[in-house]
Parts: sequence; C-alpha cells; structure tokens
Amino acid sequence: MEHNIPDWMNLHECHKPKRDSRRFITATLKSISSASSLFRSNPKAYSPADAPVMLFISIALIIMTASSKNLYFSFVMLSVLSVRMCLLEGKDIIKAFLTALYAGIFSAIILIPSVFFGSPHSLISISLKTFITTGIIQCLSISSRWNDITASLKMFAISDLIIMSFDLTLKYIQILCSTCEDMLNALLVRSIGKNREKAASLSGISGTAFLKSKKMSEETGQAMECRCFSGHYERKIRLRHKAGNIISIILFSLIAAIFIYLEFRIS
Amino acid sequence: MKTAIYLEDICHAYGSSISLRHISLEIKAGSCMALKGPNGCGKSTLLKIINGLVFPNKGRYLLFGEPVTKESMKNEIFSKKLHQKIGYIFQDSNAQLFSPSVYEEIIFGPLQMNISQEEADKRAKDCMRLLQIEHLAERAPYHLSGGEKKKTSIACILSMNPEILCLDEPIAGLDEESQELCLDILKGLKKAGKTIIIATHNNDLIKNIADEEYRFYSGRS
Ligand SMILES: Nc1ncnc2c1ncn2[C@@H]1O[C@H](COP(=O)(O)OP(=O)(O)O)[C@@H](O)[C@H]1O
Ligand SMILES: [Mg+2]
Repeated sequence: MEHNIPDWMNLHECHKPKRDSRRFITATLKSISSASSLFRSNPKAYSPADAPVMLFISIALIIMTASSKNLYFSFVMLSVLSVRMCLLEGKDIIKAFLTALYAGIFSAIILIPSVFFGSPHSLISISLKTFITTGIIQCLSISSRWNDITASLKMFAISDLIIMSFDLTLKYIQILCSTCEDMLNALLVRSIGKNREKAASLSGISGTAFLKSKKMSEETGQAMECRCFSGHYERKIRLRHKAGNIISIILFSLIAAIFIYLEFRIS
Repeated sequence: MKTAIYLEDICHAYGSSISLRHISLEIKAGSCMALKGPNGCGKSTLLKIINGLVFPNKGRYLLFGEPVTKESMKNEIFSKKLHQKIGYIFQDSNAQLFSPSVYEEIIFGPLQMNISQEEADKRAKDCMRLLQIEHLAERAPYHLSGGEKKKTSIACILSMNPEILCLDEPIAGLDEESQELCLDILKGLKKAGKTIIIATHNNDLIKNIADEEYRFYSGRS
C-alpha cells in the first residue's frame, strides 16, 4: 500500500518538554478575548427602554452635560447617573463604574497643570463631566444591543450605507477576534517545546489575520453582489417597551427642564 | 487495555448558553471513538476540553489517570506534555494554520521537540508525502484550497507523532480520493496503536474505522 505511515509514527514518542516563556501567548489570548467580549452583542439586553429612545436620551444628556456652565447641573447628572447605574446588574455596575472612574481620574491627571495656571475650578468640573459622560455611554452599551444601537442611528438621518458599514465592522471585529483566538490556541497546542522563533510565529498570526480580513471583505462583497445588493440596506427598529419609553422620556424632560432652568436663570 | 481518556459527568456552558450536559465517556488507549451528533451539540467543545483549552464547569477529566484541570494546565511542563500527547485538528483549518509556508507549518512541531534538525526535516517530508501535498511545500497556507488546507493541518499535527488524535470533522469538504486517503492513514495510525477521537456526522467514516460511538443528543435537551 502506498499510504504506509512512516516508521517513526509506529514508535511511542517520549517527549520531555523544555521550559519556555509562553506568557506572551496566554497574555495575548486573554486580551483578545476581553476585546471581543466588549463588542459581543449583548444577548441579555435589559435596557428599560428601546435602543432608539436610549440612544437619543444618552446623546442629549451628553450634550447637555458637556455644554452646561453650571456645576449644579453636573451634580444633578451625577445623581441621575448613580441611580441609573444602580439599575444595572451587579457585575455590570462595577464595570461601568470603574470605566467611568478611570476616565475621570485620567482627565484629572491631564488637567493638573491647569491648577497652577489659576483655574482649579476647571479641574473639578471637567473631570466630573468626563466621569458622567463615560458613565452614560457605559450604561447605554451595557444594557442595549450593539445591533439595535446601530439600527437606531437611522433616527439621526445617518445613511443606510454608513449604518451597514458599522454593522459589518462590528461583525468583523467579532470574527477576527475569534479567528485570532483560534490561531493562538492552535499555536498553544503545538508549542510543546522551546520555540526558537516566537516572534516569527506571532507575526505569522497577525499577518494571516490581516490577509484573512482582506479576503473576507472581498468575499462578503462578492456574496452581496450575488444577492443583488444595490446599496439598499434597511434595519427595522421595533419598539417593545412602551411604558419604559414613556417613563424614560418623561424623566428626560425633567432633566432637560432642570438644565434650562439652571442655565438661563443665572445668566 | 489502559484507559486513555476518562470523562465523568462533564458539564460546560459558554456564559449562559449551555453547550454540554452531563457527558460521561471512557476512551481506551488504542481504540477509535466517534463522537456523533447534530450541529451545535457540543462536539467541538468536548474536543477543546480534552485538549485542555476549555475547562468544564463541572465534572472530572483524567488523561492516563492524571487529572486535567485549570490548575494543572498552568504547569508548563504538564501542559506541553499534554499538547504533545494529544494532537488536535481543528474544524476550521483556516484558524489552525499560521506559518508562512506549508513546509514551515509542518516542521513547526518537530522543531520544538528534542530531535535533530535532520530528523525534523525528515518528519516534515514524510508527512507531506503521506498526505500527498509535497507539491505545496513552498505555498502559503492561506492561499490553498479548503481541502488542501485540511490536509496541511492534518500533516502538521501528525509530524508531532501524538499518541491521541482528535479530529474535528476531518473529512468534511475533502474530495472522494482525499477522503479515502485520510481513511487509509487513520487505519494505519490505529494499527500503530494510536488512540483516535473523531467528531463527525459521517456514517461511512464511523462504520469504517470507529470501534465505539458516542451519540450526542442536541445540547438543548
Ligand atoms: N466561543 C463560543 N462562545 C459562545 N458559544 C459558543 C462558542 N463556541 C460554541 N458555542 C456554542 O456551543 C454550542 C456547541 O458548539 P460546538 O461544540 O461547536 O458544536 P458542534 O461542534 O457539535 O457543532 C453551540 O450552541 C454553539 O453556539
Ligand atoms: Mg464542531
């Protein structure tokens, strides 16, 4: 038979592995899986209102917080945000809070010089505003599905084609992350000794991931052409939480009223 | 016969979606086990558990009597030994191949074992001859056809000469001739005393080579 297996395959392998640093592979694996989980469309979106409403409110609140010249309004927003965060699930509260806190601390550090230039006031107000806006975005992205968010961009007169490219980007980030994860696992299961050319193996992975992404986008383009794609891409938005939407809008109107009162009373 | 792999009451979930429910399975050294079941029933997940890439939420996994857990896999020597003993051919060969050429892909494993360069080179060439892909040696894996990629990924695992082979849908997408070739190779490997685990839903393959089959029911049940 011509398919005879070579002799050495008949023997029992006695492999004594050498130590070698694999920290890089495992660390890369960890960071990739956390990156992909960031963009994974959240299956248990538990937002109290529908994505378009939440998106509108979030953007409006961010604009109001950023443009407000009154520190009282920032405090109002801070309390609103803390109440909103408390409505998240346990693990998510920590995630949202920490992300917002890091952003706030980071901007405070950047603004330290401003204290010496005589405006210590801006240090407090800007880092507070950063904390609030980051917190709002966190609450939105944690409790709504990414897909619903992109679909509701339609509301802001953003063209279908741009929404589609957002959707495809989100999808590709997912696919590429899982491909890289698989390739790193493949490297891990075959890293059974001392790899003299670790850098080469890892650059092979990123190179392959790049080529693969190129091929994938070509193939998606071809597949779309085959399905008679003509530039028309429409995502339907369904409104599910009637009561939630109304309550959210009422609460939002209250905050907006406070904003107008505080801003224009002073001036 | 010795027990190669012993799984007891394995349960696993990806986040909140359950992929494996109470799987108990014993695979004797030198036998061939087929994992059979519909798409999405958790075959690939079970193979990942066997390879120590994913860990069960509940249950016990012994490899030649030694427990494989998240902790034991942290031991570098242990995990490298495990990865040499068990060869894993991924379902998606795209994900498995990362080297710039087919030859380098295949020699990657042997080069890390304590064998000479010449011996490693001989192994790589033997494996290419065995799978009839010698003519692809200098080609880049990502430009190959689906079947060629599959054969390359089989060769790059065989070159490490593992005792246990895990194949995830190995012949899906191969032409008839290549299917026969793979079957022949698997039979040869079995004769050489290797343990073979195949995830497949191909009845012919199971009939031809498997000693035992483990039937999965839909993961949801
Ligand atoms: N990385 C992952 N994250 C979340 N769910 C997954 C992942 N991989 C597989 N699954 C889910 O686990 C189940 C079992 O998958 P898999 O083991 O690939 O099945 P099979 O190989 O038998 O077709 C499927 O429902 C699949 O959707
Ligand atoms: Mg599978």
